[in-house]
Amino acid sequence: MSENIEPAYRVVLVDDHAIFRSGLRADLAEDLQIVGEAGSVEQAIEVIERERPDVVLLDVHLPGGRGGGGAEVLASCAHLFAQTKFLALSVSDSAQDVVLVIRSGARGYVTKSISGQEISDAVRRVAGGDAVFSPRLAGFVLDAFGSSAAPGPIDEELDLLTDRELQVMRLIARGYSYKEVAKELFISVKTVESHVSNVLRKLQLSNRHELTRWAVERKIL
Amino acid sequence: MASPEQRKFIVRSENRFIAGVCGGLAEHLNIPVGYVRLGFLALSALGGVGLLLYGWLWVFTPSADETQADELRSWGTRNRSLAEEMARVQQGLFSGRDNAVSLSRWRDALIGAGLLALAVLALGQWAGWNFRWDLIWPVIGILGGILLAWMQIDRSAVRPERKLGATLVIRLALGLVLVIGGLLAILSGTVSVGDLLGGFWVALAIIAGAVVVLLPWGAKLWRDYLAERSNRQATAQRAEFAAHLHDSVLQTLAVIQKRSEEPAAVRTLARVQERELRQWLYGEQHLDAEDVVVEIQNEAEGIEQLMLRDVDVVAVGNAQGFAGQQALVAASREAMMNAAKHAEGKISVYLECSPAQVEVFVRDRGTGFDLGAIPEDRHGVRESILGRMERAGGSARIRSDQDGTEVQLSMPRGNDQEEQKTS
Repeated sequence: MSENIEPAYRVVLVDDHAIFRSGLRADLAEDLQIVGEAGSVEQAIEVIERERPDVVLLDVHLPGGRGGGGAEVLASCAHLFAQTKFLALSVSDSAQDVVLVIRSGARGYVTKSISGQEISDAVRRVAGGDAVFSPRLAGFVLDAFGSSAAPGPIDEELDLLTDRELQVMRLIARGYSYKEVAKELFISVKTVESHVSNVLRKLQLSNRHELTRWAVERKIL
Repeated sequence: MASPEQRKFIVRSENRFIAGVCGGLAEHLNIPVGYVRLGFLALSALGGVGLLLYGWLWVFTPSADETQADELRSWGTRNRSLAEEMARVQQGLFSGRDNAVSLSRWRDALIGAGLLALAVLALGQWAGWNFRWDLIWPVIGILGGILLAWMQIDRSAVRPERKLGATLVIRLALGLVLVIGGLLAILSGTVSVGDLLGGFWVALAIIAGAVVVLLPWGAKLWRDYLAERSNRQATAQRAEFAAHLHDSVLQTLAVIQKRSEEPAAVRTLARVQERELRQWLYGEQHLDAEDVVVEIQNEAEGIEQLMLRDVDVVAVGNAQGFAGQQALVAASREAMMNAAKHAEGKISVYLECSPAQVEVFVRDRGTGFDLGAIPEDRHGVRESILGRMERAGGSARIRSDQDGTEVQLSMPRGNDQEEQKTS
């Protein structure tokens, strides 16, 4: 890898557990510069406003604020999305947590158990404007949108995944990396990335009836 | 037999004709129940003292069912030793339930005896003795009404949720009517009907006054009772949490400390514990235990524990009761086992249930192997994955290259015993 050529990204860590923050600090790769840390919703908003980092690693469960946790931070920082990307982190991989922060504007979601190498890659990917999908998040997407391209009239472009997007999601859910997905589907990694970004956009913006029902069934929204 | 210093409190016995008072007293005093019953009969014959005593004990001593229910409530929230557990099992086995059947026959006999006594009285009347029937009937009515009403209390104490059943209300009302009717009948012998009616209004006024004055206290008592009850529920819940954490998390932490030299074991222990705790806190309660998703998750967990490896399961949709489910789960287990045995790194399992079929993908990051190079006599892959799936009507494919191996299983969902939950 040619990491040292890439620009250093400025990163803010938001997590209420100091132990976890220090572990993450040690784990992140050299080219990721940590410019601030926060342990509550208020601190996080303040630090992000001040530092305007490239990437915020955001814990889903945060104390303070109105009790909204990471999603509340996202809502307060929505005007910064063009410059600052958010990568959600959580101990939990329950549908509630994942879908809520993604719908609030996070560009990706990783569980706290991932390795330093993986999380560094994820940060770079998010900073570069792409989305980070874990297998589980891909599973949620397939669950929510239906795993087959639904027949019938397409009311809105947002409401359906294309066949290709479904294929990509399914491979990611099966544990394939972006590179492996690209190889499997005979497309470039860039194309995979754009498919994933499209899916993320649909997931964030779609008001599809099925998505709502899916979420309500699982008490997410 | 219990020695005097550890004599039990009086608890109305399961072993009973009416309310178990005699049985309880006999147990308490440690004398045969027959003598106690005879004693009560004799006392009753002496101007009804026995009846009063019986009623008194009935009202003020708890029944065996009640104490058992109390015990059960505290039981659920307490840690217990093996000895206690054993004792409990024995108690459960040998409690008075088996007596109940033979007793119901005795109770019939008791009713028969009562009827016989009535017959004797009637015979006496016919023979010319002069009975005060106008007193005997009301007394019988009052006693019957009390019996009817009080029996319900014992019944509702055991199952409080059935307190307001229609039969209960009917029986209580009937008991009330019998008792009041009996009392009025006795009074009407000495008081004229007009006075009785006047007295009725007076009684009503007195009751109304008492209610108005005492209502706030009553309401407060009721509120206190409710608060106390919810308090008790919260305590019980907390105790359940504590017990669960003790049994799972604390135990695991202890094991982790002991095995801190082995990173792989510590990691796996932590992961298995995490998975279990998460399942307990916000598990997929919307799925049945027989669902294929749950079954494969269980298998993955088993492999994590057995082989000390990480197995990630991602599931889309759910399905149960399709024809090849067992074969699919078994083949998935075999595939996960192979991955755990032969490959390094994380094992990814993806499970997708569509209306037409259920697919399982098991992927590892090993160096791969050549399916054709496996000797014919090796059963692992050929028999337990490929053969098993084909016999059950499904299919299996294995793809392997230097980046890892993926086992792809597919089982059609027949419509025969279909139990599809989601649309």
